[in-house]
Amino acid sequence: MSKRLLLIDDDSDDRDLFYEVLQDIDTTLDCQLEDSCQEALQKLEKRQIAHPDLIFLDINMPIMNGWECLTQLKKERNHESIPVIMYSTSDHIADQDKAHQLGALGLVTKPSEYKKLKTLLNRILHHLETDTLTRQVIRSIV
Amino acid sequence: MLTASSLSPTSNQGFLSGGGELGQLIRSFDWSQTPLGAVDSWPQSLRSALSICLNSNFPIAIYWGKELHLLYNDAWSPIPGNKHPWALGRTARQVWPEIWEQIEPQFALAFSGQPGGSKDALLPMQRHGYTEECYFDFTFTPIYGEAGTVEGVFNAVIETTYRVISERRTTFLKQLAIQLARATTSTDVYQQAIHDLKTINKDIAFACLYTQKGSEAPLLFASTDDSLAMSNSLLKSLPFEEVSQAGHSVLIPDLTEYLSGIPRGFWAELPMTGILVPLKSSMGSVEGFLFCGLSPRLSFDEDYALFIESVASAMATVVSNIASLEAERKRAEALAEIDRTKTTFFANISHEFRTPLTLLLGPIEDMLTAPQLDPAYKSGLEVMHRNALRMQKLVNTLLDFSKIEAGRAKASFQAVAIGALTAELASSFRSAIEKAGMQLLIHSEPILGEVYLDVDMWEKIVLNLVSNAFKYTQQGHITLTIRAVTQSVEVVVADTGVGIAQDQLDNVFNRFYRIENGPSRSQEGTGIGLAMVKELVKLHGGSIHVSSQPGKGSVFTITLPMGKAHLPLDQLAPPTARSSSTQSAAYVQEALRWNGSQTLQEPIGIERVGTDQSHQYPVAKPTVLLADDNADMRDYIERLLGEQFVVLTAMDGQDALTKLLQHKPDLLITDVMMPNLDGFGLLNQVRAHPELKSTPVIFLSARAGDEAKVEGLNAGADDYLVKPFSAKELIVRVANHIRINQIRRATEQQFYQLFLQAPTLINVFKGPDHRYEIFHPLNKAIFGEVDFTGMTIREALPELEGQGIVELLDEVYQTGKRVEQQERAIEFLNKDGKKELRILTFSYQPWYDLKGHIQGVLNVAIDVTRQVTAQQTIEKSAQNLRAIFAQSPVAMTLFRGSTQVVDIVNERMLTFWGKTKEDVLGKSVFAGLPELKGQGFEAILDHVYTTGEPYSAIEHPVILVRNGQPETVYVNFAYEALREPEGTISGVMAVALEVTEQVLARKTVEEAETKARLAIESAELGTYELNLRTNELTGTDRFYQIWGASRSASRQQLATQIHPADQSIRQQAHQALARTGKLHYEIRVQGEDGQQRWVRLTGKQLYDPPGNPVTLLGVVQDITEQKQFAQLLSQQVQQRTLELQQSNEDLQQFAHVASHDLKEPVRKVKLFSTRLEEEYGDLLPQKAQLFVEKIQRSADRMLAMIQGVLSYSSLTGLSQQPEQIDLMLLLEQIETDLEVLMLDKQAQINKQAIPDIEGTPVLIYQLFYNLINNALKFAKATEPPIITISTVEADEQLVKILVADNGIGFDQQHAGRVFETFTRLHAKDAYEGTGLGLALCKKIVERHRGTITVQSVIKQGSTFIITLPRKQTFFNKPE
Repeated sequence: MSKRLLLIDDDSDDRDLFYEVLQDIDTTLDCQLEDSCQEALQKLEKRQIAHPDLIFLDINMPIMNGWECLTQLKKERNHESIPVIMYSTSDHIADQDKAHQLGALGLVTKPSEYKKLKTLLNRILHHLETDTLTRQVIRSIV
Repeated sequence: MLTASSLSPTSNQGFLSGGGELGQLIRSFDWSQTPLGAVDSWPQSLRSALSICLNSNFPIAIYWGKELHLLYNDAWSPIPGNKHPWALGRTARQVWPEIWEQIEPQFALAFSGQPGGSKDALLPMQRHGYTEECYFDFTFTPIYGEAGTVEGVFNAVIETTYRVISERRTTFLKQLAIQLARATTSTDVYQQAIHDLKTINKDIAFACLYTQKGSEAPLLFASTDDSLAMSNSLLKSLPFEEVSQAGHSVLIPDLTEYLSGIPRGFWAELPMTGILVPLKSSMGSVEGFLFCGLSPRLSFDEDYALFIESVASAMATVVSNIASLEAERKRAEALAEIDRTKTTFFANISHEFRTPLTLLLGPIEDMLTAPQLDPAYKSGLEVMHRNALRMQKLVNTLLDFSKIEAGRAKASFQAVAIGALTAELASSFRSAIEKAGMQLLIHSEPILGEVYLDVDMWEKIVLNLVSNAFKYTQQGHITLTIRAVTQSVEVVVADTGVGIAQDQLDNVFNRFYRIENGPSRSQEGTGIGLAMVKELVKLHGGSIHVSSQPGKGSVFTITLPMGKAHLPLDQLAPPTARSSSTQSAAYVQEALRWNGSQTLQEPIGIERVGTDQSHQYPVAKPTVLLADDNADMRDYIERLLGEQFVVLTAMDGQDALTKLLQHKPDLLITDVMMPNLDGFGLLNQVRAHPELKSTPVIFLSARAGDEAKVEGLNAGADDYLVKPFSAKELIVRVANHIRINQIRRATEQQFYQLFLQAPTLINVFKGPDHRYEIFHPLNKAIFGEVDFTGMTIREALPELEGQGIVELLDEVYQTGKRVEQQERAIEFLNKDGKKELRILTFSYQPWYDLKGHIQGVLNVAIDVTRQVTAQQTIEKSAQNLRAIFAQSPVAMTLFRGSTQVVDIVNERMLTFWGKTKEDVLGKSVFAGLPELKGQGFEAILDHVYTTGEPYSAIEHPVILVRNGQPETVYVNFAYEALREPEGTISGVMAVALEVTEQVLARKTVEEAETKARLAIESAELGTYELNLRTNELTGTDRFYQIWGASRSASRQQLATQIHPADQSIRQQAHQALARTGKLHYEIRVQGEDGQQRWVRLTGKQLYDPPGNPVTLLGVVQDITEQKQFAQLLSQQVQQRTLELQQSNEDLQQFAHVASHDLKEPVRKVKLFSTRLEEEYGDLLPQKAQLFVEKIQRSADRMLAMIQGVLSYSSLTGLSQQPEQIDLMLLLEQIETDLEVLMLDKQAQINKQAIPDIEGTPVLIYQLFYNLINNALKFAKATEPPIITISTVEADEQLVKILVADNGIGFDQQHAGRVFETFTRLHAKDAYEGTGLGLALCKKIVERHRGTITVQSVIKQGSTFIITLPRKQTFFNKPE
């Protein structure tokens, strides 16, 4: 069964790129793109979007940022088990620690090259398929 | 007591009665064997003199005959020391061989009929079992015999010990305070103090200063020549701990217990006792100790103790002030440094980023505008372009931010017409707003109070708010309202725009918070504008809040307090003429761009509104003249003082002098540095001018420091203020000086009135040429109807030339010494213009102004022409006794009979009484001197007359009416019954010596001493005495003043004034008193005047012989200022620390967020340029490929730099615990990480054994990574890099590591600069580098409390030398 991904990012360039890379990897992959946390949360709540297997969550977003969204997700009984990867330009140690504290698998820094993003997503998808996606794995990939 | 019966009725020795031991000795002496012969043969003159001598309590000796045989009384007997009683009857030459040469001329002088003597002669006495330091004034007065020739010499002695010693100490304390004020370090203070203490070795035999260092107290300085010898001679430690704990001095009764060699002071004897005094800081902590040897010739009394305490206190106060100032200065410097670094850092970042940005934007724009642009990669280029522009905007905001940061430290608030200014600023948007079809409405209500603003900041506030309103408003209007609301001003900016949702309102002022709202004129925004506004408003002591209805509009309301009380004093500035806004253009340009206009078609309109200030001067205000060449300063001070004073201004000293003469202002404020005539020059002119002389002068100077202050005050300024000064301070000082001067003038006027009414001639001369200030009406008896007021004595009385009178006046004016002339004949031109000889008894005495400067001479004269003539007649027929009386050096009179009829009286007595012979002779003394009635003399005289018992008194106050004025005088007097040969008492002989002058002099000395103590600020002492049996408390005026209570307050009442929280402190102190006998505590006291003061009490108990406490002697000191100073300092420190932390947090937060925000666009540029290259590389024309390459390189550089900024700024925030680091392992990791680069460059790293250190692994890794990376980066192109890492020195504390390379090196002169941020020594193209790597290394090393330096030679390589401590003891302490 193919895995479903959800990306929440307000930056359309990043959303487009993410989608493009995923399509490049596997055209059958199911990936939902959302541009705001509130809407994404609302849609998840109302089951307007299917339950994802992995969420990529940007940090810097207006109104509700990634941290608040992560906190909300981890509060919801229905969503708390969904693995979340923080997906940001930041590679600050403090942000990595915070991601762990709030219950995310880790922090993945947005790469500045297409190829690197492709390699990165390839690895993550591989571990997701094999149910071996752990904090250790994320740390080693990063 | 000798009674009449013990004398032989036939003997003629009644004059020898009484006289204590010496009377006995003289009576039993066989005088017949001496040239004086048997007593019965002694002449009457000797008998009378001896009678006075023996019955006096004052030391008196008589040298009789040509051979000067010595006779003396009990009081005199200690003077010759162990020569007594041998000296009795011996000749002066025998008694005084050692000083014969000095005293022989004095005797000769006396025998020629001229009195002589000495002042303040040191005569060591043994009165209390030890040789005592005593001083005496003594006289040599001729005694005339029956033949009218001089037969002997009368030697009276008055003790002046108290005055001499008091004066010595007071002078020393004054001098010490002045000397110490010049010191700039505590070492200076101690060294100077020790140096000065050597000069007072009569009081302090030796002195040593110790510092308090933990539990030890090492010797700092000693007054002995060899301080080493001093510390070596210590047998055991001084009781430092006891003193430190008790907080007060401890007496060391036996120095031999502590010292093997006691240093000698001034005296021949070694000091036996010492004292250890704590040196206390203003916070009360003991910082050091003063150890003194006490004089072996003085008893250690209260005065002595107070003196020593004052010395210690003078030192401690200065040290404490220096320390506080020093610490404060260091803190201020550290903060300023951080602020500066931060500001430069931001400015640098922004600047550094602009360069690669330009390199990015250029090629992108070139490609976008290329005609043959392929649509396939156009969208990618557009993304890059958009992101590069966003980046640019951010960088510009960063620059703005750094400007605000830089400006924050320099806020300068001034009174501003807020309505006009705000309206003016807002109206600059009018054109843009109207072009957009909207309206700008401004309602400015009149504001009555003063509003203080920093104009630059206020511009930012208003421009941001209006610009913001315009940005989010598409139609309708923007309304600006300025109005007064009880003690504050409200500025309201309201728009009819999109508004903000309720749940967003809280966030609008947060930094970097961007609100997604409806349509706006621009999506650009940095999220910093409103945050900045809030900060700026906060700096003004105001607040800002927002209310809004989505779709209807938003209302921003700023509330600012009126006045300036809420603003820091040092940030108040004089108002300056302001040119129109410099900032509005940028804001309006931007606003116009939102409208679509590219450029400004017209200059931005500024509506100037006049100021709303006016000045009013009520007539009764005192006038102040202000001389300053700086127009701004003049305006500022004029405005500050304008409310209370009429302020005149002058542009320089010359101008000031003209205006001084013209307007005679009440006070002069003058700058020191001025053209034409400077402050000192002006002051000299003022002080030299008789009419301006007393004008108070305040110096203003930019020169800080006590030295400048002392110089100013020495020059004669009344006060000295250092710029920048606080407004309050200036007003208070000006008002004080004016008030003091007014009081002084009023007193002077009353004084003159008194003189004019006096029945005695009193003239007052002013100035060096003796101008008549007061010409007494009685002068008219001599000179007729003239008035010499305003004339100099030479002009008025030219006939005095050659008579030595003017010379006398000069002498008094110049030396300050009083001159008295008895019965001096002076020739005057009388009212008929004829020469007339007048005999005057007169005195000239210096007349001081309040500051103790001689301003003139007071002349009191009595015309005795008639009396002298009369007296001469009487003398001729006078009897022996009368002759003696007349010649007596002391005032004498004889009362006859039970009614005390004045029978004989000498001139001195008459002078003393202030009466003439006619007034008193032949009358009862109580008739002649009615004022004596009721003063207790009746009973005394009666007693002496009836019992024959002599009576004497010392410093007895008597009210006498002299010159028609009742005055209290002090007299030493003796009454002695006068017995007839048959033994019956016929009268009472009275001898009196007026000591008013001495008593008053002593009081003056006491006052001077008090003043000196006041000057040494810490010693404003009040004293009190508590009777422990009756619980009755009496205190000095100062005591009640400090307590803020009236004299009538009981102890109970005084206690209730103590702050409730401090009551327990008092209780504990009194419990300790019961145990130790000593009292020491500090409490707050609420005065009846409502003022709260900090008071320090120290005291000790006195015991009765069985050892029960009887009395508590206490000293209170007002330490409010010390406490406030200390409190203020600690507040300032807290405030600064808070600012510092805030500043650092801001830096980190900002750098973090900014770096993140900066990184994102660059990442995109990089991403898309890579894709462009990879996916369309082949399709791109060759030129475009070159462009892409350039874009990529710039993006890489920017990414590296951002990473550097991020690391650099996050460094301070990191607070990880240090751990043990295996440096060898760490270096291997770095090698692995740099493997690719090293292979590429064929680099080689040689490591020698390096010890482990403690540190933060991440940071130490980064340190060596950067250094190695650096070495690889700056390798020569021609040979492979070799990096050698070695340890050169290692001890238990430190490790010194070298990182050496064989790279390109650099000129050693740049060695310091390479560690600064953004320093690059090489062109960017030649070697990549961000200019942050080494700065980061330095920061890491410093964070680990180490040092890093570099040695380099061009083309040979560089060696970095790192010194790191092995242990990180202080790691977590904030820097």
